[in-house]
Amino acid sequence: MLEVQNLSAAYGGVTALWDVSFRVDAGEIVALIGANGAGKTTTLRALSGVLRAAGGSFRFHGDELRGRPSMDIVARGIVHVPEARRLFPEMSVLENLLMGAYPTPKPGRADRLERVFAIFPRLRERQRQVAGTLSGGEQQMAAIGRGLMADPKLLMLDEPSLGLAPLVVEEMFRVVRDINAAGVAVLLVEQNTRHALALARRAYVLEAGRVTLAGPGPELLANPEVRKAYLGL
Amino acid sequence: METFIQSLVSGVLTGALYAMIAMGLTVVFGVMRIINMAHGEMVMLGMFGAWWAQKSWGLDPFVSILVWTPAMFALGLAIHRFLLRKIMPGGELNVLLYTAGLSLLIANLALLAFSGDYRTISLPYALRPMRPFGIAVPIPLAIAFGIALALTTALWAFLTRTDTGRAIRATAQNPESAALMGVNVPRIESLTFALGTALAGAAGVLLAPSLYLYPTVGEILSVKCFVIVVLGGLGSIPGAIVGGILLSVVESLGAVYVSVAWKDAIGFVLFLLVLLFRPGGIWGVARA
Repeated sequence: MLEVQNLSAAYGGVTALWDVSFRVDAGEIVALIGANGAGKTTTLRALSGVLRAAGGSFRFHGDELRGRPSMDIVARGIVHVPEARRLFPEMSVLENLLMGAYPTPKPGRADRLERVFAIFPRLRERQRQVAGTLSGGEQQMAAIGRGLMADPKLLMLDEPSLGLAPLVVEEMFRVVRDINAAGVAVLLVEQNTRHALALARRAYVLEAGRVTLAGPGPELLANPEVRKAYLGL
Repeated sequence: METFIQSLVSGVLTGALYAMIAMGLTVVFGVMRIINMAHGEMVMLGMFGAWWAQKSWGLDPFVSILVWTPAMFALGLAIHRFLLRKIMPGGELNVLLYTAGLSLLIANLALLAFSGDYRTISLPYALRPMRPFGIAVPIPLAIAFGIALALTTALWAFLTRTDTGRAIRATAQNPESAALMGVNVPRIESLTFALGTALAGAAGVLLAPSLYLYPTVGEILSVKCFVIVVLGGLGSIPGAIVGGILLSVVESLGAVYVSVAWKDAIGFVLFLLVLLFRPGGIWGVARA
């Protein structure tokens, strides 16, 4: 479904991604793991078009999307839920969710809104509340819910567990599995390596802007180097 | 007591028009992070538009708003497309100086075209004020207030109830997230600038029958507009409404109880006090 080949990107003159290749197949959960600054977020930003990739290619269902603006990429169903949630802080939860539905036609929005409320009943209770006043866990729910409102084929989640209490983290990973079970492919960027690898069908390890290891999630979880570098074992 | 209510009422009526001008400036700032120094000149163009429509076409100034609002919207699109879009990557200071230059250019072109004479628009129905509850309300000001109220309500409904309106607010709150939602941010910027220009122009048309017209009137209006926007908090629409009415009421009370000559100065004293004690605006939302 998504084929990324030799992708490179830079901020100003500083190269952040050198050579990143991976793929996501329909229905999969794929994890990108790596230390801070390894290029995980940069990869997602390049794929969603908010950062212009310097070289390489990425194809979605065979169509080259590198160099296309975000609006085209979202319209094809590649939806990026950014790190630290980045909600619209002065809008209500409901308005944030409706903004998520911006690229989709009006019929069908109400159904998706019901589905999002079914996944996150808390958001239904809080729909009139201003997003900036939600707790961290609720903001993450709203951010993922906003992503789902765009009717994604591929949902790219950047650090959904960041800053959440352990119980809420469990809940969040359960939700990711449910979303995937409903047929949405997931590209998961995580610092929480153990959880991410346990959940992912396949995973890629990023180091200094390059993919250094790849394999099925459970296999990487058993890999001595990964255990040493990312699990502290 | 009657004097107090009288000046309060005329303060609120004029305040709605101040608020409308300030909303244009604040919406543009919110989305594009630029301060348009030529905003007052857009009001001036609206005023001269109304005068011109009456003089040349015999059109009532309030009817001419139907012509000038779309015309000013188109002018805003053109200014953004041909001037601002090229200069915006140069940074905030460049844009500030650029719009300041634009303001001088427009004011001086207007001087050339209309000369520096003070003009007024005379309306047959302006001769006698309405007197509800014994308070004198000039009819042109009352009409302007009504139209300003309707336009403000329509703008608010647009911003809160339509996809495009929400996209404008979303872009103001977080441009990158808005792009992730599929919002065409450059298009929203151009639309917002046009909207701000149209608001200023429409407010100018509405103000024209109640103020003296002269080509450099935009200068004082720009300054008042900055005061209002800082009072209410940069980028905040409710802040612009409250700030506009507040400034106008203070001016109006000041004119009665202190001195007409000090009317503008009193507004600026208020401004300095707010800057000193609540630099983020009355509602204290200091934002990055």
